[in-house]
Amino acid sequence: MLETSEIQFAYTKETSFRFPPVYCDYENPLLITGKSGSGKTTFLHLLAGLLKPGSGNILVNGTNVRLLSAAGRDRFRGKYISVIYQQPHFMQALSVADNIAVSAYFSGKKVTARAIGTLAAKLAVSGLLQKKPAALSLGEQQRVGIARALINEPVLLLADEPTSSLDDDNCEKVVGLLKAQSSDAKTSLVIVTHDYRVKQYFSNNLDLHVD
Amino acid sequence: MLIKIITQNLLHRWGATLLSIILLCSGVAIISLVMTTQKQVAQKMDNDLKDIDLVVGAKGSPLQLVLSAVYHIDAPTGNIKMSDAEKIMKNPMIEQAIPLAYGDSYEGYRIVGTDSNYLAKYNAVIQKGRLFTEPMEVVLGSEVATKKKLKIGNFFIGSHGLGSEEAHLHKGYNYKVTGILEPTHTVLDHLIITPVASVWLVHQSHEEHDHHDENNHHDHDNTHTETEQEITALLLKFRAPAAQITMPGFINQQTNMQAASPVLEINRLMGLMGAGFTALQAIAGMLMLIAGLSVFISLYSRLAERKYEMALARSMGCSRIKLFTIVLLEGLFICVAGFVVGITLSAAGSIWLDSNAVFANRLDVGVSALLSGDILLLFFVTSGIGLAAAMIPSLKAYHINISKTLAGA
Repeated sequence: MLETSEIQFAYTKETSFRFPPVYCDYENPLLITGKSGSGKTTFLHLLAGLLKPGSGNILVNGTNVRLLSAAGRDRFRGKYISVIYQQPHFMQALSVADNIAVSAYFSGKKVTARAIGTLAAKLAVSGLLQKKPAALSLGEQQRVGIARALINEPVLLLADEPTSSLDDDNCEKVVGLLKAQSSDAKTSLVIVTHDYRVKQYFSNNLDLHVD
Repeated sequence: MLIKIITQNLLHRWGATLLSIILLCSGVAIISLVMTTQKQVAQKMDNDLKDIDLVVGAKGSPLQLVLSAVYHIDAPTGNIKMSDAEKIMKNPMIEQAIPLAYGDSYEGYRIVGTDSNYLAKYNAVIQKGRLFTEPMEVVLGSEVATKKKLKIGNFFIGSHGLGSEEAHLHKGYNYKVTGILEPTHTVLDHLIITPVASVWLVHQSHEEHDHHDENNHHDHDNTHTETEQEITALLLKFRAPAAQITMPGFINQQTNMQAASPVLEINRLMGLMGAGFTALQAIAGMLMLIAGLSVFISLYSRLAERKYEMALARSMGCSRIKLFTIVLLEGLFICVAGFVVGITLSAAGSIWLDSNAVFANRLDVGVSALLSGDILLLFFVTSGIGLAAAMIPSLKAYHINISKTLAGA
């Protein structure tokens, strides 16, 4: 479950953001839309604990992320939060299976090959596990990115522009996949995007504007 | 998983990794080979030296005299008259004098005429058979017996000269093996020891033989009396250190012989060799520094292309210190691999020297010498280079700004 009060964050005096309160749980996934410069990615990074807000609270399963130290936020993020990026970066030297496993390793969790296999089957990437990331298509990379994010069974799943580079068919498939998987895993889902095609699939949404 | 991440990262850019390892292992191999050889040479020289205070022989190069009489790795400077040698032997300042008569060999192994004191000097123990009691009887050094497959009771013919060729065999004069020595790990292992009288018998009879051949007349009965007996060198041990100052001067100036101090000559030789060893080590050191630079460039240049995956790792919960450790260990792994390959090459080089090089064969350069403290020091130096080379890239990884990096993607 994610709940925020009014959050403020400033890169510089001239570049500051104020974000309205949001709430989401696994039954009410949240869509945050906005145009370029509206602070979507900044908001996502704040929710992920990659940035620390100047004020306001970010409660993830009751823990106020803002009050954690930098190292504490790293540990907390590893255990409870996963992020899917528009460009799903991978460790190029590792296989797809190892890229999924490494997520669990960094978060301090143990994962079995069987669990990876089961998740890979759900996301239709079983045949890709032994390949190197460079050998995958963009759509395959996106699905592997989702598998990597879900392997830790996070409390909060954040997705940054997951559909921007996809056509309509694939856009619908990825959104459906994210909603289904997060619902199955009882994971709160937040999607941040400027892709307004996604809006139709969410009732809980927030549109950010440039002040 | 940590090891897998590191090794896969190194294998992923195998070209740069291989280059760094080749540079490092070359440096390590040269340094360790030079170190072990230098150490073994010094140790072996010291072993063979025992307590020989002075070597007396024919005039010529003092180093040549020492190398030929003590280490048996050079030709002798000539012979000296036994009567002259006896005057030195009777000098009250001399505690022990051991005569050496050599110039013949058997398939590359020197035949040395001497007395039992020579064997006692090297604490030689008869492993099989007995000590010689008559001329033409020999005891064999352990390596001679092994390599030439000679046994007690076997006969062989010596050849003139110290090479392995058999151009001038002393036919008609058979040496008989009466004893085989236990290994002493000294020059003795490579020698065939016989009474001085054997050498006189072979050579004086040979000279007589030649002489009588011209007159078609053979008579060996008076061979020892017609020509003056000679030896090749005399190994002296003094009663008091003061003799070290007076004896060499006396011999060099008052006699037609030459006295050479083995310690001085060997120190001079080691000084000359040391300069070569130092130069080699300097070259190897440069190679290792270049290798360190190669590791640094390899890791640093990869940072730019790996920044997204590093930021990603951090966003997945990887702590700063863990990311720092991964990059640091990548540098360390390259250096440890370079060290292991280098030491293996060095060991192979030592084995090759041990079995192929004539000089080294006499010096017993062995793999065991690699297990010395110096090699441990070399390991720490190599690891230090790896850690130093990886330090800046590691710190860069430690300080990576996750949000800025991922937002800039």
